[in-house]
Amino acid sequence: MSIKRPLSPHIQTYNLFFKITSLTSILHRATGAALVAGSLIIVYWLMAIAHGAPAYDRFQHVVQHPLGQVVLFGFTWAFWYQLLSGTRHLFWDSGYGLELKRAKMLGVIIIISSIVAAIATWIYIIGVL
Amino acid sequence: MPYPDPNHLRTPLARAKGLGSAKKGTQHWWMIKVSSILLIPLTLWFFFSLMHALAGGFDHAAALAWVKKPYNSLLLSVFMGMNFYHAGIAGQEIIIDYVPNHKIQVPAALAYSIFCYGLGIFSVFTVLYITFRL
Repeated sequence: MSIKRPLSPHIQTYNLFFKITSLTSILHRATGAALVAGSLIIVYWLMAIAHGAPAYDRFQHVVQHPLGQVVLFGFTWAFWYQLLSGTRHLFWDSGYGLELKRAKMLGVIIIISSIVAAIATWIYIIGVL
Repeated sequence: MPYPDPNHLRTPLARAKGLGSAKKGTQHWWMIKVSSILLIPLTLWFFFSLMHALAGGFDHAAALAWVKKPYNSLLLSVFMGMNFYHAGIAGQEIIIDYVPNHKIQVPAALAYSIFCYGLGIFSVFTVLYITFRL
């Protein structure tokens, strides 16, 4: 006969999206995975440079397509999020910011500032081009 | 060797005590941290220098000239290598956590590692090719 024991993390209380700590945790992984996919754009960019001007024009055609621009914006946000969140992880590793109140506050800060940084980046790029 | 080994009189506990840990449990975690610290300045450099380069328009000639500058070429190689190294060791954690079936997990982790380290080598080679052959 098996004994029913509570599972960890306890499913009834574990809420992925409505707790700031679990939201930042899953976003850290999701943006990490997105950045691996996004790195393929950089590889494509390098390949296009190596192949010559016609290939590079095709690359620019792809990234300047509205869908390409949406992907690049997502890439930009994922970059800023992972950078801020990763830095927060390094602080955690050295023992700082682990108190629940501070962890929640920093979580809100990194979500908002990553969005602000991504928008600011694109305002800059659109402004100079 | 089957476990518990029927040909030996030593108890499983005695065997385990003798084997002990390999003392390498933290190495994987440590390398994720080392590469992530290195990637902070490297990604910021790539991001801001690319943004700066975009200001003057960025056609093939401009991109080629940018990559061929010695320091850009060096930093771009280090960045791409470190990027895919970090992607390889840190991304593997996601596969290990979310793929519980070992028959899928091990080949998936293996394929993912080959993908990341392969792309890292490919990227560095491409940067060197652009720098020295174009």
